[in-house]
Amino acid sequence: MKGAVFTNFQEMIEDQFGMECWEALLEKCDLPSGGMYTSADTYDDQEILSLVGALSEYSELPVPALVEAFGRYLYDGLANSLPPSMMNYPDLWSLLDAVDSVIHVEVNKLYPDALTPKIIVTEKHDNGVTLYYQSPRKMCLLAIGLVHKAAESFGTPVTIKHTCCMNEGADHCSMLIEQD
Amino acid sequence: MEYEAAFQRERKARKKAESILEQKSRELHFANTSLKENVDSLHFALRENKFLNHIGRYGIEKPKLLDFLPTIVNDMMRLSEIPFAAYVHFPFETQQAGFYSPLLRNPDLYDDALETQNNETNRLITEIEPIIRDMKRTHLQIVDLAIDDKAIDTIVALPIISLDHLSGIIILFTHTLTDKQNHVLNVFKTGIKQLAIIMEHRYQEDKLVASYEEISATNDALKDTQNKLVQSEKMATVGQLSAGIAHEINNPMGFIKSNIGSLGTYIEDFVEYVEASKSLTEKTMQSTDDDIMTAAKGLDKIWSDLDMPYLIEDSKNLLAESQQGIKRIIDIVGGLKRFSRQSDNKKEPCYLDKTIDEALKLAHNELKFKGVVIKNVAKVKPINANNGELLQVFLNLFVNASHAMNEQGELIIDVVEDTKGVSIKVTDNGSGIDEKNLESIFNPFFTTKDIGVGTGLGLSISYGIIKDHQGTIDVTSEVGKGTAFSIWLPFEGTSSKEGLNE
Repeated sequence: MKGAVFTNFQEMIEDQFGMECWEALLEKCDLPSGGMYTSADTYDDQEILSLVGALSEYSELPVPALVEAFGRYLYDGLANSLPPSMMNYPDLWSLLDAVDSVIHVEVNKLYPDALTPKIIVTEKHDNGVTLYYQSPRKMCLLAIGLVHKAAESFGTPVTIKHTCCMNEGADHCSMLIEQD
Repeated sequence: MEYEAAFQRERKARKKAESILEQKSRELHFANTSLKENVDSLHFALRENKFLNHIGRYGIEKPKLLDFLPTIVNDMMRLSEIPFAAYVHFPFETQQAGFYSPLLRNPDLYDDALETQNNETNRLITEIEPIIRDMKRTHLQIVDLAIDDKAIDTIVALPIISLDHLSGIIILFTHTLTDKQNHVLNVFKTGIKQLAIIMEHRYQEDKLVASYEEISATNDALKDTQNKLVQSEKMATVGQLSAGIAHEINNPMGFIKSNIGSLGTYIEDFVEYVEASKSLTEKTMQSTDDDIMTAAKGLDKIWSDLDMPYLIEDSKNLLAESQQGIKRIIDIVGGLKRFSRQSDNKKEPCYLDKTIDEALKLAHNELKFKGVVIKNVAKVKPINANNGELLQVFLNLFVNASHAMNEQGELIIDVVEDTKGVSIKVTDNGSGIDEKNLESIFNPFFTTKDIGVGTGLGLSISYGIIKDHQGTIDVTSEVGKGTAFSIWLPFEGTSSKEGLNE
């Protein structure tokens, strides 16, 4: 997984739980990278899972809630890392449309080895869209957090219904996103 | 607190470094992309060059279009990355059937670029052909078919038109033309136009070579005819001259012969008288009359002094020799007349096999010690000719051959007929004729034989006879190898038509 995800995760912990918490998590997890994250590198997927698990123990909050919360936090970090011309969307829907065709294309230009998830708008409704998510990491909750935060940034909060999920055995996730 | 400030500073520095790294990565990406595009475009240009180069080679190496088409069709598939193609070839000679290629696969996309037959594509090609013939330009058609599980929705048919003739069609089968492929199609059109122009040049060049050869051949034939004309003009002049000379010699020869004949009779009378006088002289010498005896003795002295017995004997010889000489002159003059066609010429159906057999019989004495005679005489229709004259021609050729040959001689006689006449070839393996003499052998009085052996009239008479029969006589010879006379005689000569019945 891309280093940017780890650095953002570290920042979220430091912001919300303090530096001591981060050090505690690193000590507990005993990671191969030793927690020396930089956005330019790529790290084992297992490290983020260990860190989230340890955070759940530390904070006594459930893993899914933490992942989604991290998704919300990650949005700003990722959005700011893109060239400004790439984040010039009038609304949430056009941003969602651009994820696969523009944003992930851009990411792959910089990091040809990045395994970006497949996130596609499959249906458009009067009040929203159906979003298709597919990734071997099955981190659909992270995507949901990102979408929520993006919706908030456009001032159009949404409700997301997870109609089918990879974590429940499906080959992809389907999310019905509707404006409140 | 101081540590935290330092930490935050370090954190910011790291983020800045990461951002710079990202910027560099982005630049690197663009540099890479542009490099890749350059490589792609170079690669493309290389193939484009190869394609055009192959077309250029068509003009230089001059292969047949049918053998050349697979090369450029392969080039086109590789250049355009189009998976399948086929071609049709129509030869210039419209009576020849067109060639329809099997379906070809792009060798870059398929390991086995095998050619396959595909009914569906064959059907499409036969459908497209009349459209192309009608429009005479590139034709695009939307279709819906699958070849080897590959969806095909577009057919591009490119005609090769040279000198207003549809020489071929190249058909490409593809799935939705990309911008690049559309660009490549323009390259193809240019290439094919170039090919058509080269074909045109080649056609003109071939035509030029052909007309040059034709002109050369005509020129040679003209020279040959001119030579023959000069020769026949010469022969005609010689003929006229001979006729004149023959006529002039004939008249004095007539009275010389007659006079010599009379002179012979007179001389016999003179001899009878002289011999009678001799016996009288001998008797008179016995006379007692002195005067008479003296006169007789004087007469007898004159007899002895003149050697009268010799004179009498020699006069007879002289007369006999003169008569032989006269006969010879008359024969020669007769030959000259025959050569210049002063003789009568009655023509009748003449069976050449019989005439040749007759001539061989007459020449038997000459030929019997000179090897073998091989006859390849086909049964031919009779020709309208003067049998006696033809017999003379063949006899002359056979005798000449026998003179040229030694004991290992081989005389071959071939007779065949064509639609208009009969060819007779008389070949010997004798001494041959020197090239410088070959031109002169039909001239009257030309001979290489010793003086007195040949008159030099035989071949010129034969020449005159064959000409009179509207035929031809030619000779080829090589010194030491032998000589071949070729005669051709028409079934029906135009100079005389009586007596022809087959």
